[in-house]
Amino acid sequence: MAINKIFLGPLNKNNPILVQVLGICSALAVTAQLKPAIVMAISVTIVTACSNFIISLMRKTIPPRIRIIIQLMVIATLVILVDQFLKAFVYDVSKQLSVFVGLIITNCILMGRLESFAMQQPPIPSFFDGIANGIGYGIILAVLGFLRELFGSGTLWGYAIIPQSFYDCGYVNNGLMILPPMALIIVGVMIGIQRYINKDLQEK
Amino acid sequence: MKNFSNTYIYIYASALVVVIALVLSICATRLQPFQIENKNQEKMQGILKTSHSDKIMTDNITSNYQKYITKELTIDKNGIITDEYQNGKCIKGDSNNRAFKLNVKAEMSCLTEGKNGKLGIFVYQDEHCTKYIIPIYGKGLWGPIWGNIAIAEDGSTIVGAYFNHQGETPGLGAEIANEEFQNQFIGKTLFEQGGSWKGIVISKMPATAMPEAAHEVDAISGGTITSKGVETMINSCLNYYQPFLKTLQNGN
Repeated sequence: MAINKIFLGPLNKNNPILVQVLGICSALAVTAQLKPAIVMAISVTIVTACSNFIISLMRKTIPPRIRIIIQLMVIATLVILVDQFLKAFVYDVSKQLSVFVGLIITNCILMGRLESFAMQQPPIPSFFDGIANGIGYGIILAVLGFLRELFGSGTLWGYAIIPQSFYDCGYVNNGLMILPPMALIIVGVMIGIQRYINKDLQEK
Repeated sequence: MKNFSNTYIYIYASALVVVIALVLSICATRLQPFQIENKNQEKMQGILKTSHSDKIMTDNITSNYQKYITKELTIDKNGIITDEYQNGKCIKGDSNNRAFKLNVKAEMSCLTEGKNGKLGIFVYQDEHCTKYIIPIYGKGLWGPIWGNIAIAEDGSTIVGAYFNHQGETPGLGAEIANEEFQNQFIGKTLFEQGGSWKGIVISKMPATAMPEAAHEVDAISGGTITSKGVETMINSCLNYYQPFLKTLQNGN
């Protein structure tokens, strides 16, 4: 498989959240603000790429009957390593993410890509498939985090954006934006927009 | 697909477990010094923040701490200083009882059970004033809450407060970590004019008229249980420091 085809797919036509519909739970949980959303996206990209690479290296040796368990062990180990590194080197960010880093283990994108790509393809393409899916996931998370923080709290990355004059005129932060259901609605709207633009994604 | 034998499966799984255990333990031991240093920096920063000094910048935490926190005292429940740590050296008692190393949660539970407990005090000193910073620990709605209270040389006036939490509700109980809530405590007094203990009241409708207003602070709307938790934490922890605070008052 050509490297650029592997790379471009997850960014649009095969986007993990909008098309494969994976990783929805974390997309709703960490996007109330932009900063944790970006850090989560980076963490998922690193873990997906590395687990894809490692499982692809091992793919010919893994007994099929325990392959899900083996995949889970590799993912869990990588996530624990990421968590320990965050705690050691970017402590304030790790406190913001707290339990959500551990929840990367349950993110369906990782298992999904391992099963459908890494178990069949060689290591280097698998690595790039992991990076691409991570970036595709990250783009959606960034958009969600941007919209939810801006309209739900009036800030971006912690800095106040909406000027005080708006609040004085009667503008109120949209509290629904901070809650997960609104994130799901936004994802639905994004799926609709993407299918309108890319007619070939629509089912016949 | 090649048929893997049962023996292969058992050996494969066991070998993988051993490899993973090795990788994780090596990683944990190598990274632990960094993680402990981060936790210590956070603790120092909390103490420095409580002092509300205009001199403290957010970087150079360790050097600021060594410069402005000149003494660490450990007292018992009768107000007697049992250990003193100054300029990086223990000049009285046991260096293991250093205030920075005390586990506030453990000492508080010893004291509530009636046993002996150690109480830590951090003494902040610059050219204008001396402040006594006391660590506190308590229970919020969903988990523990903790913080520091800075008291002036008169042993009664609060000059700074810092609170933090583990999992209080964002926007509600979590507001205790905001400066707006913490700054309310500045200027409030723990003892009445006559010298008797009053403590702090956190209420939905705090008194605006003196003398009650000197002891009351506004609670957080929608964060009733966390606010009550902060009130209980301040009063029950600082209660053990009464003998020490009284010696400060008599000293003036």
